[in-house]
Amino acid sequence: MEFPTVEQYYRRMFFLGLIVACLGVIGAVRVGHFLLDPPPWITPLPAEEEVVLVAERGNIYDCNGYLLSVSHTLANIDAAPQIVTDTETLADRLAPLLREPREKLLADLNSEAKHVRLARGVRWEVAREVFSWEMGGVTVEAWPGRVYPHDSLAANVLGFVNDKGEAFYGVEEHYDELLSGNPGSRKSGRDPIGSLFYQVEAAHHGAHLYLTLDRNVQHIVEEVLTAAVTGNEAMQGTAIVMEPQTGAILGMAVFPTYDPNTRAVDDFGLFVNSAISEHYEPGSVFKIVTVASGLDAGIISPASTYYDHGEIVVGGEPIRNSDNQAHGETTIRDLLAQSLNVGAAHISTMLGAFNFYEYVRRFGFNELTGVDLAEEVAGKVRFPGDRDWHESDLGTNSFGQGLAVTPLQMLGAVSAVANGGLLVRPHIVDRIVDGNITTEVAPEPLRRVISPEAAAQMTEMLVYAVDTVLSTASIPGYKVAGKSGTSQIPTIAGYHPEETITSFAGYAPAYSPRFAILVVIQRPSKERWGITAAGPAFRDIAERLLKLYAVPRDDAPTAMRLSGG
Amino acid sequence: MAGRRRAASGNGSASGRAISRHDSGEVIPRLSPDVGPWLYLLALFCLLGLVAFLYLRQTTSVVKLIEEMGYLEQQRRHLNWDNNALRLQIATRQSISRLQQEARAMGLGEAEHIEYVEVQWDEPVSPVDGAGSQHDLPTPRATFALPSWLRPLVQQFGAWASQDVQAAEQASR
Repeated sequence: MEFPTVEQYYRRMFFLGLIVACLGVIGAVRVGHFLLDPPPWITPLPAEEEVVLVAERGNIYDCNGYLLSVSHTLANIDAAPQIVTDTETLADRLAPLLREPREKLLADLNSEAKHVRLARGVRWEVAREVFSWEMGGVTVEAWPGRVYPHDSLAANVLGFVNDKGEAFYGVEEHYDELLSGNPGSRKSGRDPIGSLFYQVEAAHHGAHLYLTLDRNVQHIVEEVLTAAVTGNEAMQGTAIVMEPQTGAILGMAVFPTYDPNTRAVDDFGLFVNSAISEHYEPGSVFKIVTVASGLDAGIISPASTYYDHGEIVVGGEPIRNSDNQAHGETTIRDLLAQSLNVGAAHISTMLGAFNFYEYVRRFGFNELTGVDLAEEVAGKVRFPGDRDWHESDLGTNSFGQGLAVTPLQMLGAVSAVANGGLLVRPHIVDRIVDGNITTEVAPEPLRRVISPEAAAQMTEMLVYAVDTVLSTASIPGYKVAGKSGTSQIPTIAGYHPEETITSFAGYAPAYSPRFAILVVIQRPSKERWGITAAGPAFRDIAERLLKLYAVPRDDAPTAMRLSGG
Repeated sequence: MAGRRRAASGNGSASGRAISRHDSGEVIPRLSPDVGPWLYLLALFCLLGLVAFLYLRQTTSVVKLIEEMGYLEQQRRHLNWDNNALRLQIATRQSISRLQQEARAMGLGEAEHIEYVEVQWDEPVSPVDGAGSQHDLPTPRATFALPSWLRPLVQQFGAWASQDVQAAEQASR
């Protein structure tokens, strides 16, 4: 074997070194080129990238777990006509799916435009189908939407979420933060020594809300209210059903209403929930407050009497009965049944301004009810000491004129009488389910407004009123407590001569009430009195609810005792 | 050849580079300290290559994981959307207006007149003045007579079983 010489050895070593150096230089140049101008087939390194993980909005259910509002992915389907090759086939396939005429789609696909929108806001199941075709030139752009499967049912209670994800009105707005959740993120970046790191913070999805609202009750209330408003050719109607003991709202309807899916309305006022956001003069329904206050203060009893001259002057203003008649010696029981304004003013003057308005305060007419719905307003009551309060207000306020309340405030006061004298905060959310944590919303008694004895006497008088005068609200087999109200509508030049706001408030069964109900019919054209316009609607709602909840009849035990004994 | 070996030997000794001699007398050149820098450079290249290789490998695996997670996230999102779509479909099918429509299509109608009838029981529903639920069933009667000494004991046991402490005390007296 022949060994290389030293010269040969060094030459070889030199060439080897040269090759290694060349390779190194080539490699370095290549890596530099790769970093500066990455080839298209390689995904660039996600340096300093942050992807927002969208939190899904929580759903809203009724008390029985039926969906009322659900997050749903909607999508826009677009096409680039210059890229789509087989427009005929695409139009054939899209037409039945999008429920659009084939000719219209074909015209869009054959247009000269660079970009056409074939459909907007289609549901995910449709979009997914189109997505799965993987057709060139067709793009599916998904975005989070909100769908209300029952269309207009409870629309004014739920509110809505627009296409930008902004919540308006009702439960959607009030619980927006809770429903929205918190978005997560996926970050990638480089640490100080240049190493790639990757960090994921999961999104906290929104909580689900279970309402006290029962969709069956809501359906009944809406159906009856619609019939009452259209039947009376009225302008608007509001009805609320509440559990008097807990303040749980079982149904709350406004007519006319809207479909939160489309929100196609001419008048944005339809979005407003008039049960909490609009005032009205309650009229004679407010006599419940006046008489209950008198009973609680001990200045009257159901059997005590006063002499009705047909007119009483309070603060220099004469107050007359609605029938302009004098009723002579009258009991408080009959005052309430016949809805005599003079008697109500008699009680408020006996109480005195301080005591009367103290009771008005206790019943919560000067404050928000605190219901968990957005856009609630408080009542408008002038109190002694206010600049615009006049002594005559003591008389007119006693029968529900000269003050404005929300329907929910009025029903809250009626519920306080029904449950034995406790004012309870009305609420619409029963429980909040946030992941694995369930938070129950407990009933919240605010304060005692009248004694249980006064409340019992009041119930007895309201039952008497329904049994004797307000028979449009009576239900066979059940004792019903109730009171009608008719108020004139204030205008700039005094009260409107013809238009009225009619209402009926009450509860059933009277002696163990399951539901407190208020119906307000605004500006009816046919029947202009609460007893005839709102009374039948109250009865229909109460009767159907008693059947729905299988509430035992009041006369059933007696009948059985008689037959058994 | 011998002259070349010598020359090599001479050069080697002159420059201080070691040249070992084989047993057979052949001269084998050995790496001298002058070769060192080249070697170190080569080792450095190897080391840098290794580091670059590890770095690229780690980066590739992270990028691959990112891609995989993105894909899984998309799948999860799609499944979630599918789930919501199904939920919505159920809710739509359960809607009262739809049920009403279907019921009417089946020929069902709403009751026009409801009449309540009195149900006559053979005996009073409740032992205490009729108070109690109307849905209570009548108490079953014993079909045989118990001996007089056993009756209070059975009554006491019955009252205890129904948590009626007062009745139990009375029965025990």
